[in-house]
Amino acid sequence: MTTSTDTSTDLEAFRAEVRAWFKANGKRIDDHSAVEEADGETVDYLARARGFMNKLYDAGFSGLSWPKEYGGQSLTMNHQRVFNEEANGYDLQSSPFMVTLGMCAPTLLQYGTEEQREEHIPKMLRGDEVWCQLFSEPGAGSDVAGLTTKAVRDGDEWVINGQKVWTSGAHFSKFGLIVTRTNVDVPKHKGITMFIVDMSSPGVTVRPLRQMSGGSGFNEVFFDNVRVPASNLVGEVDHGWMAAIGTLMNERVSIGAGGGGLGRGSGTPQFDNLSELATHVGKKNDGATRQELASIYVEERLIQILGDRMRAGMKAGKAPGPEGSIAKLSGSELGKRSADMAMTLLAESGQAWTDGDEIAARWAGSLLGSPGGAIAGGTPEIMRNILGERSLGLPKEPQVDRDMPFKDVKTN
Amino acid sequence: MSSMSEEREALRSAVADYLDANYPIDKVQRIADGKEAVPADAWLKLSQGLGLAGLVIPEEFGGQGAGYAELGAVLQEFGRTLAPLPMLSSAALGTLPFLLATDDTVRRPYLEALASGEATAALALTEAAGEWPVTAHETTALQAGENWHVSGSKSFVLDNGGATFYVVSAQTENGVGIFVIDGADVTREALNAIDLTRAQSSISFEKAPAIALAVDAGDTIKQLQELAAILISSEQLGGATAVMNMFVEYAKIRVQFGRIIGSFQAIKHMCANTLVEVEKARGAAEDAADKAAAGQDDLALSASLAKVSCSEAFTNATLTNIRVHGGIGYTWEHPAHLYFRRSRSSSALFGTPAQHREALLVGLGY
Repeated sequence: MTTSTDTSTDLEAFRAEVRAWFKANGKRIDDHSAVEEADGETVDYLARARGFMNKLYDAGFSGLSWPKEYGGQSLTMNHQRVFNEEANGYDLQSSPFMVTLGMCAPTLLQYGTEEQREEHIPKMLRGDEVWCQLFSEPGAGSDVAGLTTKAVRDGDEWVINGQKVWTSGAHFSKFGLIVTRTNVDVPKHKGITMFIVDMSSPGVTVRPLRQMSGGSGFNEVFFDNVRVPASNLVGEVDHGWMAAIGTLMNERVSIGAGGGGLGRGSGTPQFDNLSELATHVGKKNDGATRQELASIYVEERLIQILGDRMRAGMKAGKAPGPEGSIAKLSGSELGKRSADMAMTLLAESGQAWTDGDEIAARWAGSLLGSPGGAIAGGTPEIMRNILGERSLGLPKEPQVDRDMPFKDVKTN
Repeated sequence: MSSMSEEREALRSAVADYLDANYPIDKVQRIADGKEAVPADAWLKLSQGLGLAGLVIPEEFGGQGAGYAELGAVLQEFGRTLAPLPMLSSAALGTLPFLLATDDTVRRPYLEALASGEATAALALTEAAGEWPVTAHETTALQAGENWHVSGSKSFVLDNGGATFYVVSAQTENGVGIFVIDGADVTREALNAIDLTRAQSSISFEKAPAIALAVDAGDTIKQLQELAAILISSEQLGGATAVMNMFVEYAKIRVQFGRIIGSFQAIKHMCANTLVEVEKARGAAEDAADKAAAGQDDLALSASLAKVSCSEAFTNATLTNIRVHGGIGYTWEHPAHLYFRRSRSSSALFGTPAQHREALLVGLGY
């Protein structure tokens, strides 16, 4: 990773710049951050977060390791690491941009046309364009390739009909990356095409879904004769599956180990929060508590190291491999364990609390969010299948429809 | 996903080839069983061939001048094959105190003898069970003119059946020091170890003549303990990788209920869970070795992180190995138990996971 631009003097100068900038512009994470995070789904929060992203971009701290020609800084992973260290403890307000920067932008970088990259990536890095990822369907959740949303060519346009679901942030996204069925006469993986879709196009209807946590970050999205210009094609007609896989792999790294252009995944927030909580409830010196706390610290650091290694690999030109599933699995397991530990520490007051008890409210939110974290981006069982089959080369699950023309496949 | 440089990879691969050719697992089993002995000149030959005894010894003392990252890569191979040679005990742990010592006239003869493979050294810090990091050194060193004499005992010493010399920590009037004593001056008692592939002993010595490597060396002893945890972690990582490969290969050929068992999700997911643990442990072990190589002063956090994650990954992998193999995995003839034994032993040495977790919290100021 060593290049002429990351000598220790350069890095130290860079560190000083980042530190000064955060001191002047950053907001420390305090006990209210969880409350902010919970309404990270609202348009208000988005506006504030976008303001912060604009400032970050103008200061030259967005997309540190991304190519300069698309608005990044073309710096090294060491710069990213330094940035992460300095950003630790500050609220990056990054949750609305996670899908945009962690998943959609890398897909455009890899599979998009030059025009698409030049047009969108700088705006994504600046926070001006929020994107969503339109993959899952009611009848095709874990089996993404079973999708039935159709795109049909009509002159210089494509016409899309169908329904997507579990679409995070669709209600405030300007664009979406959509995968569609363009050929039913070939096996399911071979007739898929990816497009950029303008979410304000006529025929697009976004309906928020209320989750078990009470939040509404997900949506169902309906496409009724939505017309998309042919120039919005990403990759090749009928060969969108590879691009989709690329997005999904980025998604797993991003969900599990933080990422995107922002430097999420820095610090050890679960450990910091839980150690504070343990002190708060008077269990700081309890042996079992200390062991579990340390285990959470270890898990958190291991995921960070793994994420750093994956991102360094990606920067060196390696597409993320099935290892992204390791981050995804570990991240959701850590979320569950952290919530469990907090509920153990809080005991009765974790399940019922008085108004204004922000600590209890925040951990209850975390508890109710953790099952969703495990499913989002693929269930643990799907991740383990991917690791078993793609990383370890074990025989595939028997799939009766793999080589069958899609029109003959039994769908839900 | 490995961050290994090409040079390090070439070294690792040469060591792998040598060990596979000379210490296949069935031979290691016969040695563990006492049916075959390690040739007396095995270590010397390996030192002459690949220079492993002097791998991290500077070239001016006859060594290879490699760093901790290379040493970590080589230790992974020894962990993978369980080759009963003093790579960890002497070339890594036994050599460390001399690397950290500063007086060339004192350390030169030892380093030269170690680099040639003609001598082996063993590091002996621990005195009582459950003592990590070692802070109370009941062994004492007394100075009489130019000479030192040490008295006391040490236990759980990895010495592959007896080292040429032992490096012990001992209390002096001016702090804790590090001393070298001749193997001939100690009474060695072999311990009954669950690990059949690595000998351990307790040693005692009474007014044994000693050479002082360092006096008032509290910081160096702390550093020795951190490096010991990092080095054994690399070896554990190699062991964990080996058993994972062993049961994954088996899952690809064993047929039950008319199917290859690796196609059953229950088995596939056991394999995947091990992969997750091993890859995270790899990150921690290689990160710690890189930090040691970069000369970072305080390695405590990285060392504990590596020791916890590698111990747990290795321990869990060895159990999964037995489970995936079924009954055959629980037989004496199958090598699974050798790895199971090694994992439990290595997990307890140089700080248990629980001790390192506690140390992590203390290190973080909690």
